[in-house]
Order: sequence, then structure tokens, then C-alpha cells
Amino acid sequence: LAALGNATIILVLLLSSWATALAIVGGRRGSQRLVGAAELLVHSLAAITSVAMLVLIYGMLVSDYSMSYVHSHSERAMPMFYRVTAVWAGMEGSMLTWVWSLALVSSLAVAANRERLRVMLPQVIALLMSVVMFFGVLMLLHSNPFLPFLGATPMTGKGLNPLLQNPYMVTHPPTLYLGFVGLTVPFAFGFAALLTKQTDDAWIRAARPWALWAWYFLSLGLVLGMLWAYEELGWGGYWGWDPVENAALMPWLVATGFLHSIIVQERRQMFRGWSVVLALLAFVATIVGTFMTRSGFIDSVHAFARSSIGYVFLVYIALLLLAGTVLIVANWRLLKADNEIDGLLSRESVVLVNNWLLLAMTLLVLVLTILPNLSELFLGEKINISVKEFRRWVTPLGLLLLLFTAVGPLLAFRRTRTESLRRQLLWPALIGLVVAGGAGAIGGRDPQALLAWFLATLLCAAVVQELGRAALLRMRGGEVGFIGGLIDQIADNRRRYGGYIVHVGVALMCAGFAGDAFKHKQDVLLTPGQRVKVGDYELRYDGIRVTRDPQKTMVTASLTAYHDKKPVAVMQPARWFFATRPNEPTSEVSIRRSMREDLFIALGRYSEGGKHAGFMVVLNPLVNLVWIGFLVMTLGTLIAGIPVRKRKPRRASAEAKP
Amino acid sequence: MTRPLKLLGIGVPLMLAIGTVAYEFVKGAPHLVTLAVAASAAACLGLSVVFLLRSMLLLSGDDSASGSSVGRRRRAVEADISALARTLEGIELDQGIGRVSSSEAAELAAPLRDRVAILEREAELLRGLELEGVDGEIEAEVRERVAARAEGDS
Repeated sequence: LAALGNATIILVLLLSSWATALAIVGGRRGSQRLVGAAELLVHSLAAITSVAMLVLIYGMLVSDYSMSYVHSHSERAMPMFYRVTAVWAGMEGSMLTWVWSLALVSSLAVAANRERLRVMLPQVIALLMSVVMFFGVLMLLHSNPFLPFLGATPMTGKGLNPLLQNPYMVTHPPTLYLGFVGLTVPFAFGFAALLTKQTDDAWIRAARPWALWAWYFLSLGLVLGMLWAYEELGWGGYWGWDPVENAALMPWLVATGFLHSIIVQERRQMFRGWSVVLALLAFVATIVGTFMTRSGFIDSVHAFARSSIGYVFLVYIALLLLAGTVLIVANWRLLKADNEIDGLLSRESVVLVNNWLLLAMTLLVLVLTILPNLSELFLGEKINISVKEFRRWVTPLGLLLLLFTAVGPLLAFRRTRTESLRRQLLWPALIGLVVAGGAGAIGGRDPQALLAWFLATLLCAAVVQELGRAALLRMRGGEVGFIGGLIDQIADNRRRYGGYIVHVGVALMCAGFAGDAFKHKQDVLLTPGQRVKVGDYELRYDGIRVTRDPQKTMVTASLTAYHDKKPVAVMQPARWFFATRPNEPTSEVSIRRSMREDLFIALGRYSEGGKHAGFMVVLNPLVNLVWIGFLVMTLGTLIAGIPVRKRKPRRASAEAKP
Repeated sequence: MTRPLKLLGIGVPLMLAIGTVAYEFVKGAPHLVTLAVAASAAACLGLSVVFLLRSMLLLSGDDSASGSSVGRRRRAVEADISALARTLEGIELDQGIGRVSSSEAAELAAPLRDRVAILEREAELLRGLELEGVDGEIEAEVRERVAARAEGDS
């Protein structure tokens, strides 16, 4: 198996370099034949990386410990699900997963755009394949998952890190990889547009679905990571500004800017430079994120081990930025806008401000993340950045972004009359004030949280108002009622209203984030039968029991939660001790969810037989709005992103024809 | 793509997958998931070989391996027209709800309509070629004809 796996990696390198060479020569000579051959090699590469992936999965399934990677990350007693997903649990396997998803996405992108982007196809192929080549070389020389186990083949494996044996953690990496590799496509299209001087809107129309889905998968990956942190790490929160979380947040922020920028380019033939720069930066951000996760340069709860691979990534990032800058400067005249911003109160202005804010936030997150390492490197002293510091700097920018997200859709392209904006803002702002005022009246005293709730409500109300106006317009046309009109308008304008629904999701998530300001955390030490009051809850500790399965020993505590003196839940926080890693117990928290707040309990230290047990009890207000907001975001993305039937422009043909 | 090539594209992966399943059974009773993974790996290997072979054929001068067609190009152009149509409808909606005046809407839509007109001519030409059964490398010719017409119009 190891030999077959190694052969596939060498084939990946050969095919990607061959495809790159054919595409470059074909592009220069204008030979459709050479480009066509390169295109077929892209598909061949996708198939061969699938073989590599499946060989590794097969090795995991049959517990082939002659492969070092299989031995280090799996063991026979593990459930089959975790044995398969252990493929991306380590550095080497995750690198293969990355190359595999990149090869598949490249194949799909080339197949879907071979006619649409015929002129720039050679450059697109060359760029995509060069990225595959880069990761292929890294995999072969540094992170090869098919290296044989040195010495006699062991009978048992080391098993998977217990923290990773969680459904959220199993799905979190592949979704992030899909987001990361998805952003390679807009980068390749944007760069190819510059190389071929085809900087009109064709490449952004082709890149949009890739950017949208990549953005969505990044969002999904981030949320799955948050859920994992919340339920598995047992510290009572879901976002700790961990460097690896930040590594995925940065490309998300830039991709958000890209998605908005291309709307303006399509409508107003402006922001051509912005679109190209953001496509490049989104891709660079994914490489920066990979560097942060894999170099060991930063300390994180789920970064891979320290390695020399970081320098290679740094050189690659520098080369990308250099090549990008040269190309953009060389094509500056082509990137100039056909139009200019006509008024400050316009959609274009808001998108421009948003772009700057998103870039500023990305840079801020990057600087704060690497500051401890930079300070250690240059000052000889490590300056640690706390979660509080992160919040202090990032929250104001986040609130500004939320403000512009709320106001942006109310503005027209070109210019908006102040009176029109005032009229549109009146009701949403009043509703926002009522909600924020109400929250303040019942005890909410954090000004930033109140402002976040005001803006989130304003945004949601503005979207509802927009949908209402659109439905009424359709209703006036006759034949349909309000609901019918609403459905028709959403169906006919999926991109717009899908986007607005995504905005609502973001607003709900922000409202949930703001709830964190009112989080209540309490450590308690209890004896069986003892009761303790935490917020509106009363908890009674009932005891501890120990159970075993083939993989682990489970110590489970039992507590009864009372609300208004009535028992409402039996809480069972636990600690699991895996046989292969007895010194790394996992915390299995118990959560009682409600719209208002979560009651979260983690088991801490306990005495033999459970005569004393320590618990961390956390009340997390509005945390479920974060998850609900994400579901709304998913709905919006589905509406905006699912391909719709082809249509002809109304009146356009008749008017435009000579 | 010719019929033998299409058959090869399906046949090789299928044969390899079947062969692998048989081999797994000869080795001993395998788990269903293990069997599926092994068969998929073999099929992917076959697929990779087929694509490689087609690439070689194309390089050696056999154009039938390229799979390029006028129909595909026409569909791509129509997809572009469709995307522009949606943007134009967005402008109409803005006008409908009073966010932009009719003159502003016309101004915003003008460059998009021009682009649609060019693309519609290209699609029309491609439809004609498709009906005539013309296939192969017509990209340059179509582009030249569209460009010449666009120049004439302006």
C-alpha cells in the first residue's frame, strides 16, 4: 500500500508539472490541442489524487501499520468512522486531503469554464496546477503520509488524539479545506485575467459561484470549529481568538470583501482593481493560515507540530505577493474604472468602506495573532495578547461593519437622496432602539452589546422592510397575493435576497456574540446531595459513576438542574480516559439549551468515589442565536448560490439589436 | 469524443473496480466499506489512465479526444447572457421600488445591455454553426465575425 501511495504522489507531481508546461506552451502558441491535452491531465490528476486518498483510507480501515501515518493516528478499537476520518487528523494526511480537494476543485473549475473562459484557460490551468505542484512537492519532501514504519510492523496503533474524536472536529477540517481550495479558483481566474488582459466582467461572473461556496464552506468550517470548542474543550466559550481559528477567519474576511466588490464591478464597471486584489489576498490569506497552522510558528490548541515547513510557506507567500503586485501595476490602466463614485451616499461608497474595514480587520487579526512571536523574535520578550485585547480592538471594527451591512442594502447605486435614506431607516432604527432599550431596561449594561443589538435589529428590520416593499410591488402587478409576491420576488432575484438573508444570519450571529458580555461563570465544589444556586438555576449534585467500553473509561457525574424550584434537566458532565492516551482525558460537557441562555456544566476534579466533585458552571446568554444565525446564513447562501434556470433579458434584445 | 473512447472511459474504471472486488473476495470476506473504498480506488485509477490516454491521443493529433463542441460554447455564452439578465432585472427592481429613477436605471443598464447584445450575436452565430453541424476549432472564426459585426455597428 505504501508503495502504491508513494507512486500516486510522484504521479501527482508529474501530472501537475506536465499539465502546467502544456498549458503554458499551448497558451503561448495559441494551440487548442496542447491546452486540451493539459485540460485532460487536470482531470487525470484529480482521479489519481483520489486514488492516493482512497489508498490512505483503505490503510486506515485495514489497520495497515506498515505505514507510519496509519500507526500514529489510528488503532483497531476506534470506531470505523473515526478510523476513516483520522486520514486528515495529522499534518501529512491533512496535506494529502488539501491536495486532493484542490485537484478535484481544479478539475471541476476547468470543466465548468472551459468554454466560458476559453481565452484564459491555459493560464487558469497553469496557475491551478502550479499550486497543486507546490503542495505536491511539500507533501513528497516534507509531509508524506505514505512513509513506511521503520522497524518491525507494530501490532497496535497509537490511536487518534481523543480531542479529535468528535463529529464536529471530524467535519471541521475538510470543510475548511474546501473553503481554502475554493478560493484558489477566483485567484487563478483573476490572475489569468491579468495575464491575458481580459479584465472585463467575464472572469468575475465565472469566479462568483466558486467564491460564494468557498466563503460558505469557510463559514461552515468556522462554525463547526466553534461548536467543537464549545462542546469538547470544556472552557465554556466557543471563540478564544486562537491562532488557528484566526487563520480561517482571515480568508473569510477577505472573501467577504471580494463577494461584495464583484457586485459593484458587474453593476458599475468599477472596482476592477479591488476585485483582483481581493482575489489575490484571499488566496494569500489561505496560505498565511496554512503557514500559521503547519509551521509550528504559533502556539495553538490544534496547530500541527513545529517544523521547518514554515520557511517554504513564507517564501511562497512573498513570491505570490511580488508576482501579484507586478501584474497589477503592469495592468493598472486596464483595471481603471469606467465610472466614478457619484455620491457619498451610494452603494459603491459603502462597499468601498466595507472593503477597507474588512482589510483593516484582517490585518489587525494577523498582527495581534503573530505579535507574541514577533515580539519574541525582535524584542526578546513575548507580548501575549489576551482575548480581552482582541475584543478591544476588533469589536469597534465589527460594529462599524455591522452598521454598513445594515445600511448598504438601503442605498442605491450611484447616489441616494438623504430624504429617501431617512425614510427607509426610520422604522428599522425605531425598532432597533426599542429592542436595545428593552435590553438595557432589563439589566443589559454593556454599551457595545447594546449597540450590537441595536444594529442587528436595525439590519433585520431593514431586510424585512425591503422584502415587504418588493412583495407589494409584485402584488400591485396583480395576480398574486403578498406571500406569492414575496416568493416570486425572492425566486426572481435570488442573488439579491439570498444575500440579504445571509445578512440577517450575520446579524443574528452578532447578536449572539454580544450575549457573551453577560456570560456568568462559576466554579463550584459539591458533595452528593448538596445544592448550589447559579443564576436562575439551582443545581443538586447526585453522584458519580464509572463505566467502560473497549476504547475508554468514562467518569460521569450527575446533577439535577432546578428552575423556579422545578426540576428541568438532569445534567451529566463527564471525563473520558482513552486507553491509548490515559493522560489526556477529554471533557464531555453537559449543556441545557434554551433560546434565552445555555446552562453549561463541565466536570473538573473529583475525589475517589465522587465524594467531592468540582464543576465549572457557565450561563451563556443568547449563544444559540449564533448557531441559528448560521442556519439562516446557510439558507441565504442556498438561495443565492444554487444555479437557476437560464433566462433571457426582458426587452434587452429588442432594444439593443441594430 | 468518439464512441470507442466513450466506451473506454466507462469500461476501464468499471473493469478495474470489478477486478478489485473479486480480488478482495479471494483474499477473504471483506467489510462492505473496505470493499467500496478498494473498488473506488481502482475505478479512479482507471479513470486517471483513460484521461491520460485521451491527453496522449490529443497530443498525437487525434482531435476527437478533445471533447470540444460548438454546443458547449453556445451554452457558455447563454449562461453569461443569463447572468447579465439577472443583473438587469435587479436594476428594474430598484426602479420599481423607487430606489433609482428611470433615467438612472437606463444609465446603469446601458453598458450591460450592450454586452448582452454582443453575446446574443455570438450565441446566434454559434446556434447557426450548430445547426450546420460544424464542430471543432471555430473559436477564432466566431470571435472574428462577432468583432467585425460589433465594429460595423459602432
